[in-house]
Amino acid sequence: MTRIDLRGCWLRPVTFAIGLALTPAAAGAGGPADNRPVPHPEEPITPLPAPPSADPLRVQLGERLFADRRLSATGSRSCASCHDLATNGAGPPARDAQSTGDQGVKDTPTVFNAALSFRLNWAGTFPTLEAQAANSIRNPAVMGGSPQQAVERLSADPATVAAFRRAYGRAPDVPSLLDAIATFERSLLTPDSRFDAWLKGDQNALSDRELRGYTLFKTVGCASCHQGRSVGANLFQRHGIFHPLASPRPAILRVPSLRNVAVTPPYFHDGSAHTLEAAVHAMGRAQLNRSLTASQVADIVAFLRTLTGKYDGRPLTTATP
Amino acid sequence: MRAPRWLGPLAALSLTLLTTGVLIDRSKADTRREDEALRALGDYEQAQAALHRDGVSVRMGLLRNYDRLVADTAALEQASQRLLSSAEAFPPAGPAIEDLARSAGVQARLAEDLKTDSALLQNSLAYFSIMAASTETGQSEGAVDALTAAMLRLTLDTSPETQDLVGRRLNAARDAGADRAPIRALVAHAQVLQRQLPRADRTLGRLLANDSVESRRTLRAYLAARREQAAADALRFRLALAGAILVLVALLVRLGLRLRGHVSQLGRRARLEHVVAEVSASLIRASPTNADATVVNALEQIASALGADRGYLVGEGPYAYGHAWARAGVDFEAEWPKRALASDFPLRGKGALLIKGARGDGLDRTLLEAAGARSLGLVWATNEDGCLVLLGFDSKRGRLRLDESELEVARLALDSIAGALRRLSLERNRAELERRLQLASRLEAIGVFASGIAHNFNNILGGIGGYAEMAAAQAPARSPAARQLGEIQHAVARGRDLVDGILAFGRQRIEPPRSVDVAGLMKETASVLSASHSSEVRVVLVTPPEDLGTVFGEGGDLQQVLLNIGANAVRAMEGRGEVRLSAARTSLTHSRECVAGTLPPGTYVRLTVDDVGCGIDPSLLPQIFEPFFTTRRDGHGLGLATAREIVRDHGGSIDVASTLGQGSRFEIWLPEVESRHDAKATARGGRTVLLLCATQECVLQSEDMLAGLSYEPVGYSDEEEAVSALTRKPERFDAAICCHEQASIAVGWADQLRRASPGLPLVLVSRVSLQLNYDAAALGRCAVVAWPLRSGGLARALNHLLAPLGAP
Repeated sequence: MTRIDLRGCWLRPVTFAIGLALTPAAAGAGGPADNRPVPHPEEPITPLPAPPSADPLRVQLGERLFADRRLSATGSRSCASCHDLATNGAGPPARDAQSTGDQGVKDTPTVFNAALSFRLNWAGTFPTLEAQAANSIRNPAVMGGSPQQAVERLSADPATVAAFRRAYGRAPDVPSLLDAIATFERSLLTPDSRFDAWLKGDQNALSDRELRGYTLFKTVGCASCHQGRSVGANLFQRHGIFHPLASPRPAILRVPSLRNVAVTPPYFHDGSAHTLEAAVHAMGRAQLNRSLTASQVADIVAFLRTLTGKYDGRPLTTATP
Repeated sequence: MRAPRWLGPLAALSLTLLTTGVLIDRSKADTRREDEALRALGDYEQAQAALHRDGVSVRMGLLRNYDRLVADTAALEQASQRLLSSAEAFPPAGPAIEDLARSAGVQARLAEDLKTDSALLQNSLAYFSIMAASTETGQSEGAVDALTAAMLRLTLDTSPETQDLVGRRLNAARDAGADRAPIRALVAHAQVLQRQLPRADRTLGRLLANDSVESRRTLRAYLAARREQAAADALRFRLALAGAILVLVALLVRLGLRLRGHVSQLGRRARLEHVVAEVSASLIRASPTNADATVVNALEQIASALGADRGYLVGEGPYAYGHAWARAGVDFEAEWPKRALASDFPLRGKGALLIKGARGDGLDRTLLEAAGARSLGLVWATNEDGCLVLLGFDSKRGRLRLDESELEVARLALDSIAGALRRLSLERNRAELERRLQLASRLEAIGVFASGIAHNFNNILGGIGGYAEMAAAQAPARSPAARQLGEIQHAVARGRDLVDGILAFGRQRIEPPRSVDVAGLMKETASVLSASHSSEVRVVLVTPPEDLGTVFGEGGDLQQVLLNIGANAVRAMEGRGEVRLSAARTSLTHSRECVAGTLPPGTYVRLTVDDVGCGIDPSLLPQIFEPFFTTRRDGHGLGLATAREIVRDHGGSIDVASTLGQGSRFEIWLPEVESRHDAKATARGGRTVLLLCATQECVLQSEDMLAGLSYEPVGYSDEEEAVSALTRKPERFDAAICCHEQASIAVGWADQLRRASPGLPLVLVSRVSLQLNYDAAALGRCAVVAWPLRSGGLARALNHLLAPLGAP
């Protein structure tokens, strides 16, 4: 029955459309430099949105809580301990060696643009920022405390209580604690990448090589999963489709965002790729069954570097231990 | 039964609270939850439609950006959550909502699968199209072309036949290019496509098929019905609100009217108080001469203020006369207002009553009927002498402008009028007493003087008469001497009459003690008059009315009055004509000046003697009742004087109307005494009286008389027996009577009895003489009654001596 529907109604024109859509892309792949591609109205990638408007008091409170070590059981760790906002929103590769208790996962995803991700953490376990934050506070391998305990500690501090009262009109409690952190995290977007500038019409924002890399990114098939405003982070996908990629578990991952990918090594959920070139090469082989040439990898990497945005007016940088 | 005073305001307050608090709140249809659920359902449907559209776009390759699918899924889930959170309010819609939520969850999972599958599909399609177009395939071109064609077909049609075809061509291509990397890659991608294309189509088909149309329709219909229900409820509450407001307005109007009523009542009361104050002031200024007019004027003023047709004041004692005012053209009922005092109405002590129309058969109705009024206000009180006095106002046509609270003002009026009447009555009594005292002392002097002379004259007349008789016996018959002697004897007889008259006049009279049969008295008088005078004169007795009333007094004395006046009438007609005796019961509302004294207001039995004789010269009228005044040569001038004294002693008076040459009318006014005074009079009996007479015959006669007066007589004809009986038991007797023609013997007996019981009241019945009066006075506590013994004189004497029973 389903089949009849598909055949009878729309599949036929759609298939032609596929062919038509592929043709200019294929033709553009090897196009001359003077014929620079311009953004198509239906590019698979869209610019990052502006941060949502929010109560500044709550954002401010969330920022303080993000760096508050009282949230952890021992008082030794805050959110910011792993998510360094001064650099890349994650941490130096060394720290990623520590396990977070998740099977096979040894890489801290950056907190920047996490608010735009449709699910959170590598396996996409958490649907909301609040759930993720609560879990990180509880996770014995991360903070090892509990939101309730954190609230009790915060309630003993008059200044914090006053800040909660100002922002929420009430004393600290678990919902307001998690909401403050999530509200702050929603403000952690990194606009003003060069690629977004190109998408918005600045034709000189990208070099020829970078443009070439972007075209390759699309024609080779990377853009099948890495698309949208986050260049990924909006679907699940199996890894190692044609060849094994990294640690086989978890088998299905949330496709990670490639925003700021150049400053957030190492790569893959197990942190097994240390450089972007290695990661691109491995991805082409494992997921696309393609052996990309060094120059193709270099082009794609050049494109990926244009995805690094700014936070607080500063471009994100690689974290150093 | 009237509702309590606070009920109206309380009801108004409750209604205000109800209307402002409950009804207004409920009178607006509260469909927020229904509206929210409907919006959520709309959002759900919109998100589902968007998801399906975007799913198709993704499968078609038109949409390479999955953000929209993510947004659609999130919107669908959010709408589903909103529906779930509203499910609690709509239990009947629970299954439909759960079905939609479940469907949303399934669609979200299918959308995830679609994204994942499509991404792989697009990957391989992209690779396949590039590789198919490139020259890298080399010699295997034929197999590759065949595979490409088959794959193109698969993109159009994922049926098993096409899948089989793709599988065969795949194998051919694999065999052809097993040694060449590009061919292997192409085949690998073709394998992915072979697997993913049908799978993606299946996923998309399931997604599109996953639409809970029935649940959506059910939920929408349910919510719409709920909204209609809420609107209907709101309409009902609005109607209730309108009703409550109407009732509230009515209550407020009623309260306003009541307030106005109170204000006008206060004004009325102030005016009434003003009238009563004015009336009180005028009553204080009143004198006995204008008292009655003042009281009637007061009644008129108050009655006018109350809108009454009649006003009256009745009572006992000093108020017995009664005062009444009636609007012109309005009459009093026969017995009203006197009847208000009757014992069948419980108007005793102190009280007030306001009747404005009556239903049923209660006291109210009886009173209204007795008064013949439509509305009636009564206040009554008992003064310090125990006399009931009642002030009443009534209206025969409408309602009195009076209510319960104003009865106090009416009571003030009653107190004021009753007080004034009592004061005026006392003043009048005092004046009357003074006048009587003067007259009495004058008459007493005359009486004492005349009695003394009369007694001596009696002896002288006895001598003259005796000698004249002896001389007449010796004088030859028909000689001038015999005739002259006969004249002497006539003169002596007349002299004796005069002396008897003087003695009767001088006799002391005491208040009459018992009821008198007026009708019988008149009949007897008429026959005596007829018998003793010329047959030319007819004495006509007009039969008295049935309700003549009762007079108290001494029947013999009253008969003497009638005889004296009747005899005058017969004489005035000089032997021919008609004397009419009649009687009537008459009420005086005002005091009446009569020739023989003033009558206070009250009810009287009036005995009238009419003649058609010579009449009386008006200039003589004031003197005719003076002792020894006479116009006849042979009259001794004591008949009318005695009549006046007797009538006055009975509390009445005599009036005379006469026209010279045409006739005279004598009216004897005697106060009607109410029956309860009867009991008071007889209560004085029941006492034991010692009776000492000369003969046994006299004892029996006198005992009968005493028994008739309700005394218990113990009679003796022997002096010694009587004395010893008294000595033995002096406390047994309340009084003693010594009855002997000879005064000296009676006084002697009395002396002995006085020694036996020093304080015992004594009555001497004997021939009255100056000496007897002196002796009686010397004995102390002793009354004199003229011989022969008569009931009236005896009763008055005993009454006078013996204090009433129960008195201190």
